[in-house]
Amino acid sequence: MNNIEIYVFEVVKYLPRHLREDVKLELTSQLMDMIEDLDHQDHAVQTVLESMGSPKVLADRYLNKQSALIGPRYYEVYSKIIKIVILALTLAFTITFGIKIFFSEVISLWIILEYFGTLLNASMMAFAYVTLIFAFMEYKEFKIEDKDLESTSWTINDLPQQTIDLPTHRFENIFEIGFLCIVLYVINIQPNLIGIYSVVVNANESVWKVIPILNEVTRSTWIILVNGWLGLLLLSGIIKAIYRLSDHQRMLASTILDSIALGVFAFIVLTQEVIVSNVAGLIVPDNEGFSMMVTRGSLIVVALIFAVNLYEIIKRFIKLNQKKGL
Amino acid sequence: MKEIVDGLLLELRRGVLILGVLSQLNQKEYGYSLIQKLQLHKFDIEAGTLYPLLRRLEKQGLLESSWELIENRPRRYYQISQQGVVLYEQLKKEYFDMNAIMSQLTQGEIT
Repeated sequence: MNNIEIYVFEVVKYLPRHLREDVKLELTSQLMDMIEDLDHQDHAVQTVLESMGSPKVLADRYLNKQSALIGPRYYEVYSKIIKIVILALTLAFTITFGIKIFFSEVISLWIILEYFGTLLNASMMAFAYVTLIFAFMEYKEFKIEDKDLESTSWTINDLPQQTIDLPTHRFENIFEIGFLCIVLYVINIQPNLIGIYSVVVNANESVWKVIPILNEVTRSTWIILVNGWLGLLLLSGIIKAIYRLSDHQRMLASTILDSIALGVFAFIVLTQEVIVSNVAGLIVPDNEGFSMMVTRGSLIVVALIFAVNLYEIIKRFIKLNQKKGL
Repeated sequence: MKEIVDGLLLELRRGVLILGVLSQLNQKEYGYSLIQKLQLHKFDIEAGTLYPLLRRLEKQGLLESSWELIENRPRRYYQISQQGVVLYEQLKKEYFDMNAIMSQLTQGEIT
């Protein structure tokens, strides 16, 4: 891939999707005109690209960069994440309230009002948190850009060796962000829904029952750690979606967050009693063999999750080190 | 001191940038040809400033653009629109009015 293509890519990757193809075509044509006009072809590309300046600065000019709470640089990603988070919350609320209604003997207007009230409240909180994160990022970039992005300091040697693949669909990790929002909601607002579902057959009817498995006795000690763990994973997912940052920045930030999250996960597993101790007994009472199978099986699953995540993190750190060494 | 001077000169030029660009687009021009045309009149403008500016002026309805295939290369040609002509005349009048005022203000030496 030649430097012109890489330069153009480095500009358009910061632009909204609907502008990319058009700007790519136009800018490439304009650069070719400038290069052709120069006599000595050896350094023509370098001269032209360095006269155009840093791709990030040029992209800002295309965006008509202005000071804003959340400017055009981040707005596209921000609006998509807001939609994902609110959609995930609505889904979570609807499912859990649906289950609540399913289990309640009396369906009252109060439950319906509670549904809409809680949904509105949670949506506004989620909107506030996501807006705060992106406003902070906009502020940080705005503060550093004056000294960091002077076009005279950019040279052709600052171009990467090759381009990355931009996602072909909206987000690669849309499911990750949505799923984490749902889990966070359920663990904090409706923890009793995480449990063993069974049908109790009485004389003339069968009744659905859920036996919660989260340890309510020790909840006050583990809930903060679990929220912290899930929060780190969610933040990592959001950062992966922000293509305004360079590949290196995204990979480094998400790898560090995932490492800390893995450490917190290990700490939770080793020291906290998140799940009640006699889960197997709740399913099949008085069966030692089954209890042992469930306990060992759980340990194997947890160990596998830990090992796979650790392997992924180590692989990413090695890749980051290799890129640094290039 | 040089940085301050350069910065202030840049601010001064920015004020007339759009007027200068619009003045040369009565006929269709593409990005680089417009730079060359402006340079003929000793109006230097960086390509990195002009190209995004052209898109912005088009978005504002002051320019019209069309793609043309010349020697197997697609080029985007810009030309001033009707709306652009109206604005251009307003800007031109304002510029000459301000020029007259500045000429009076800057008469004589600063002691």
